[in-house]
Amino acid sequence: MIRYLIKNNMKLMLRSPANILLFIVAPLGVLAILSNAFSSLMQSYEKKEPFEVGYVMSAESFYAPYEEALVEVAKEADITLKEFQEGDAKEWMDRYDLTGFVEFHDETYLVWTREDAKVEGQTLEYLLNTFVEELDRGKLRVMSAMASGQTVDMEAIAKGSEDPEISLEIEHPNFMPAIDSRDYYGIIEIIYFGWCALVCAAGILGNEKKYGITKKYQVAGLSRLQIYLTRLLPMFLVVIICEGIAAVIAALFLNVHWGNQLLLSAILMIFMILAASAFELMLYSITDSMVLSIIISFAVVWIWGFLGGSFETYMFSTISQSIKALSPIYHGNRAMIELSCMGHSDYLVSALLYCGAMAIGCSGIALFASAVRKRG
Amino acid sequence: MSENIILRTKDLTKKYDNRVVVDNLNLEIKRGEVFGLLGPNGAGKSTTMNMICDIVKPTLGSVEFMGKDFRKHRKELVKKLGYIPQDLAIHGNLKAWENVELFTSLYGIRGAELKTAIDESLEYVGLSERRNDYAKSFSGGMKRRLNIACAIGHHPELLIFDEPTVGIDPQSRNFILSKIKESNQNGATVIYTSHYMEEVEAICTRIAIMDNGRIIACGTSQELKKLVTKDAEDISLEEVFLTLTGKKLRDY
Repeated sequence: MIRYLIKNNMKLMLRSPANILLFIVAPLGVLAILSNAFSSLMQSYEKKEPFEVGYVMSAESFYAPYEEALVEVAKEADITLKEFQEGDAKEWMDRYDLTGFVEFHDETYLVWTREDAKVEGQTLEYLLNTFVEELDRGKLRVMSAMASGQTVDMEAIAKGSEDPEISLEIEHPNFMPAIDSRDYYGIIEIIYFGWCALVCAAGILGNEKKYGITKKYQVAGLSRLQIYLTRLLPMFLVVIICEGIAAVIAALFLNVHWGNQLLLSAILMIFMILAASAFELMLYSITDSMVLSIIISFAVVWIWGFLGGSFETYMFSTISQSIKALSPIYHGNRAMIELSCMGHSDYLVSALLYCGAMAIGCSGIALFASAVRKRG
Repeated sequence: MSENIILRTKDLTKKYDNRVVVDNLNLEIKRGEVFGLLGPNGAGKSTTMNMICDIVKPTLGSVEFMGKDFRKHRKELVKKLGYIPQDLAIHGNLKAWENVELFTSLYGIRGAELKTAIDESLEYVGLSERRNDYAKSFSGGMKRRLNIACAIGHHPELLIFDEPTVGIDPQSRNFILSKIKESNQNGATVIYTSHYMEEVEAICTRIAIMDNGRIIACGTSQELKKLVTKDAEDISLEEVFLTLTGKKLRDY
C-alpha cells in the first residue's frame, strides 16, 4: 500500500537540488576545504618510518609499574622507547637524533616532539593517550571490585606485584595505529552529514503539513505506523544513497581510505543513518515544527560530537571514557575509524547496538508522540 | 435503515475544551444526490467533513456510511470514499501522473489497474496531455483539476468536495462543476461545500445551512427560499443565507 508512496517520496527527495547539495556536494566540498586547511596534518601515515623516542621515568612515577608494558606496546607501533637518566630532553633528542621525548613525572607526563615530525608526534601522543585510557579502565575495575567488597591490595598493585588479589590488566592494551588525518576527517565528516537526515525530508514534511496531504493519507486509512514509515524509509534510503556516492567520490578522488572492511563499514553507516533518521523524525513528531526540530537535532549532534571527542585530534579529549561512551557518535566514529585503519574494532558491536536501539526507541517515541497528539 | 441513505450522522458532536464546534449534528445524505453544505466561516463545516472522513475523532456521536459504522468498518469502507480537500494536496515536484499514482495507490490499487486509473483520472479532468509535466508548472485551475484527479482514481461512491473552486477562473470553475455533475450522473453521491451560492444552487439537489455547529435549515433551494419569503422567485440563495445566519462578521 505504501510502496508507491515511498517511491514517490524518494523521487521528491532526489529531485531536490538542496538535498544533492547537502548530502553529496557539501561533504566533498567541506572535505576538500579541510584537506587544504589541515594540509600540514595530511601527511600520510603510511609514509611514516619507525622512529625512536627517549624517556625518563622516576621510580615514584605513577607509570613506573607499567613501564615494561608501555615499551612493549610502543614496539608494536614501530616506536622504540629508550630510557634515559635525568637530564634535558632537548639535549638528549639532539644528541641521539630522537624524534620525541617523554618525561614521566609522578602523576603526569610531558611529551616533546620535533617540529618537523608532526605525524610521528601525533602517533606518539595517540599511543600514550590510549595507554592512559587503559590504565583508567583498570582503575575503574579496581574501584568496582572494592565497591563489591573484594579485598584489594593497592600497595601490591602499585608495585606491580605478581600476585595481587585484583590486578590491572594493562599488558596488552588495544592500540590503534595513527590514521592519516585526511582519512580521519573525511570519514567522520561524511558521517556527520548523515546526521542532517531531517533536512532531506524537510520539503516533503513541510508540504504535507502546509497542504493537508497527511489528511488525505488519513482519509485513505493509512495507520500512524504506515505514515511514519513513508517518511522514515525514503529519508533513510536517500541519505544512504547520497552519502554512499559522497563516500565513493571521496575514496576515488580525494584519497580517503575506508579500509578493507567495506561491508562492515557500510553496515555501520546504514545503522548510523537509520538511527539519525529515526532520532530526527522523533524530534519532529514531538515538536511538530521543522525549524525547531532541526535546531534541536543539530545542537544535540554537536553535543554528542563534543562529548565523543570528535573535535579533538583523533578523538583525544580530556572527557572521561564513561561520558564519551554515552555519545552514539563516539561509538560510531571510533568504530568507523578503527575499521578503516585496523580492519577491526571493539566498538563495532556497541555502535551497532546503540544505533539499532536508537532507531527502535526513537521510532516508538515518535509513534507515541503522534498518538498523543490525537486527531482533533 | 433506508437503503437510499448512503451517509448518516447520529448526534455528531465535537468539542474543543468547552467550545462546541459541532453540536448534535444529524444529517442524512441520500444515495445519488448532490448535497450542499453551506455556512459562514467557523460554522463547523470543515470539522463536520473531517469527522465524516474520520480525520477528526468526534466527541460524541457516530458516522454511518453505507449502513455501517464508518470507524468500525474503516478498512472496507474507505475505498468507497473520495475526499477533495480545499488545500491543493499535491506535490509540485511530482509530475501530474506521479501525483495521481501516489494518491490512487493509497487505496490498494496497483499494477495495470493503477495505470488505467491514472490514465482515466487525468483524462477525466482534461490533463492527459500534461501528464508528464510537473505540478508546480500548472496554473491554479489545473492544480485544482489535478487535486480532483488524485481523489477519483479508485472510483469512490461518495465524493466529498471541500470548496474545490476557490481562487480559479470562471472557465476552470465551469469545467469542475460540469465534472461534478458528470460524476453524479455516473452514480456518485456528492457532498459539496462552498461559499459560492450560485454554484451550490446550480449543482446541489439538496442544501443544508449550518451555523454555530448546527443545521439551521435543510432542503432544496426552493424550499430554503420559501423559509424566508412566500415568493421564491424574488430572492436569491445568498439572501436566504444572510437572513438565516445574519450579517454580522464571523471571522473578526
